Amino acid sequence: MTEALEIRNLRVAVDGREILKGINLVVPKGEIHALMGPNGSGKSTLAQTLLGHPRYEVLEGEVIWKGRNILELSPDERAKLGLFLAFQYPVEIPGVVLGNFLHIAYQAVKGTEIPIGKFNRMLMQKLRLLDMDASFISRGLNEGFSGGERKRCEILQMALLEPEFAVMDETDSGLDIDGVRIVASAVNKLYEQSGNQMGFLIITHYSRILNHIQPLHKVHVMMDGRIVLSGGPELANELEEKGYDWLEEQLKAEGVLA
Amino acid sequence: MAELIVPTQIGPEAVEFLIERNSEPDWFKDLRQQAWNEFEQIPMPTPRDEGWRRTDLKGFQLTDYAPISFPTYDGVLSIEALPEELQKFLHPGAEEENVAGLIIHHGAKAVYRWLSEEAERKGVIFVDMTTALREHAELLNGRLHQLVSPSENKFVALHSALMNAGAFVYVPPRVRLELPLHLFFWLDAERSSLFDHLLILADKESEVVVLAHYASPQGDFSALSSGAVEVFAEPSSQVYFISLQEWGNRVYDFHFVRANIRRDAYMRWVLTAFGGKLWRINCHSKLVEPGASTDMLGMSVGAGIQQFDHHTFQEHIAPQCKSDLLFKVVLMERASSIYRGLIKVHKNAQGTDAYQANRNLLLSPKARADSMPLLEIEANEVRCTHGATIGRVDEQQLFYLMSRGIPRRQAEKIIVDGFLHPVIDKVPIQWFSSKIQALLDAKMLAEAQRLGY
Repeated sequence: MTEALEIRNLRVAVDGREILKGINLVVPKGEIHALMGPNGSGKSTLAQTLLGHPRYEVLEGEVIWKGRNILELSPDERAKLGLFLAFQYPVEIPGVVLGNFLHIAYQAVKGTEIPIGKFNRMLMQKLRLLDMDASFISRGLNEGFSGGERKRCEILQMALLEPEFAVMDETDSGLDIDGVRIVASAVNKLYEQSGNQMGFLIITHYSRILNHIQPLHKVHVMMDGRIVLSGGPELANELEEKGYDWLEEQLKAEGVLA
Repeated sequence: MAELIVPTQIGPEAVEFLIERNSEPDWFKDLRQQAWNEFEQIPMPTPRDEGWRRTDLKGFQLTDYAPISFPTYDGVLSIEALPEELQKFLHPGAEEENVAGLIIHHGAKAVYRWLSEEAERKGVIFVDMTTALREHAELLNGRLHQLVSPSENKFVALHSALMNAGAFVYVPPRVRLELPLHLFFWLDAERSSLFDHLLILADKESEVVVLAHYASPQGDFSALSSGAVEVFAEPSSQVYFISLQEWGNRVYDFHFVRANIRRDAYMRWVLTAFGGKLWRINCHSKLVEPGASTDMLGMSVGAGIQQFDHHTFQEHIAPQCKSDLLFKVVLMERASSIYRGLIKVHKNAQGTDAYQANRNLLLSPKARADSMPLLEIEANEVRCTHGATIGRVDEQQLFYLMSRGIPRRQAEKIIVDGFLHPVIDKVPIQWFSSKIQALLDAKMLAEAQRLGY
């Protein structure tokens, strides 16, 4: 059996309101999947739940990764199992120098100590890979960063921490076309560097980032807290052309959606 | 001279004892006597008094404390000859590379005194207060207790009457000391008192960094401290005063620091506190001539049932002056904090630029903070802003850090470090800011261990 991130009948509530109403989804390692859907369908809730945000209350279900139900683990334990979330809205943490934070995070995830000099050399390589300026790392963590800088900082962390499975929560939103290309090319590079072993769940509203992802294995569509449709990469373009309303009406007619 | 009997109680005999023992000049004897009279007349503050409403003095009794304590040995000529438990508080490495001067008090005795040859050659004076009263009375008379007046408060009066330690700093015109002058106070006699007074006279265009460092045995060590700092920042001088307080957790400390800042002079306070049952700090910058400026920074880290009581005063007397204040407080367990800060702009002080911020971070549900910013503005062309926040660790920030593999406690620590960074960053001496950081690390670690992490 290939390893996979397996979501089984996941139901999640926020402030007492049910948002995810029974998600079933399998993303095998070595595959890149996209999760699309209109605003408010529960995509971000799924992303935050996968990493264990305390605000999201799991009502039912399991998420199996490496033979364990990760819903029982704290966020840091999930990260140590090789999971990563690129945040849609990365928070600002004033006074915390990015370079120091990265050093601590790297050691925490890898479970080993690495001298700062050696770490910095590695960090510089990653910065070059992403075409980022070295002055970046002496700034406060996301402090005063522009939207684009925050997203690139997320990608930098992903490149550095080398997760086995990454969830990317609308990393493309708010970026211009060049920004989107940079993100997509970073995903392609990381996938390649992992020997095509990494798993990705790319959450997005639009298909434009997906056109630059190689290879894209599957596209899933989420509506009203459920996965309502899964298909190949061509599904992304179809949605882009016809919009979500078209799908919603069709699903209502079929009785899939209420 | 007959052997003097060391008084064991706070009372008029203690005043007599100090006068006799130190053969003080007449004007200073009078000052002590007057201060004692003030002390006797001023009633002990109660929760009904303005500025004392939230201060917890339950269980505090002046009769519990001896007015003075001495170590069993005489002064020493080298640091190595000091008791071992004191060594760790001092600078690392060679003396002449880290400090321009060092005075160490053990109880009320200045047991070690050193000033670099270079500083001495430039005319810098750095001596303990007893010596200063004997040798530099002309510089002290008319300045000592002029800024911090005995009549303003019961504890200042007590401090002035029973002053038993401290130092005098004089920096001549245009002399700039790159290395700091370090004053270290070690108090280890249970239920004794430290009434230290520091007078800094920075002459025109001079520059000086003074470190004041207070320590005692940790744990349930009990003592009374009431210190005062008077800074005279003459025109175009720059004075940096950095304090670090790491008392045992039953010490009561009432501290008064005040600067008179003249034309184009700059005064920076960085007041850091970790210990004590009560740390009551009163910090006042008087901007008396145009172009004067001040940065007032504070950082208090509390746990257990510690109380930190901050009173600040940015007094704009002259026009075109600037004051910037930032007091940051981190509280664990049932610790509490009070902040009361006044910006006063006098009628003539047009063009004033004043900023005040008090930020409190509560790490436990039982910690408590109160913040009272006050403005009194009599001029019309001014820029004054103030802000106060009391909050807990942000869940989003915690989640973000934890999602990067960092365990909860460590993530919390990173957030606290980031929160306090703007204050620690203002300590201009690297080895001293490392000490402050190390104390913060140790205190947070102790709390984590207490909670079983």
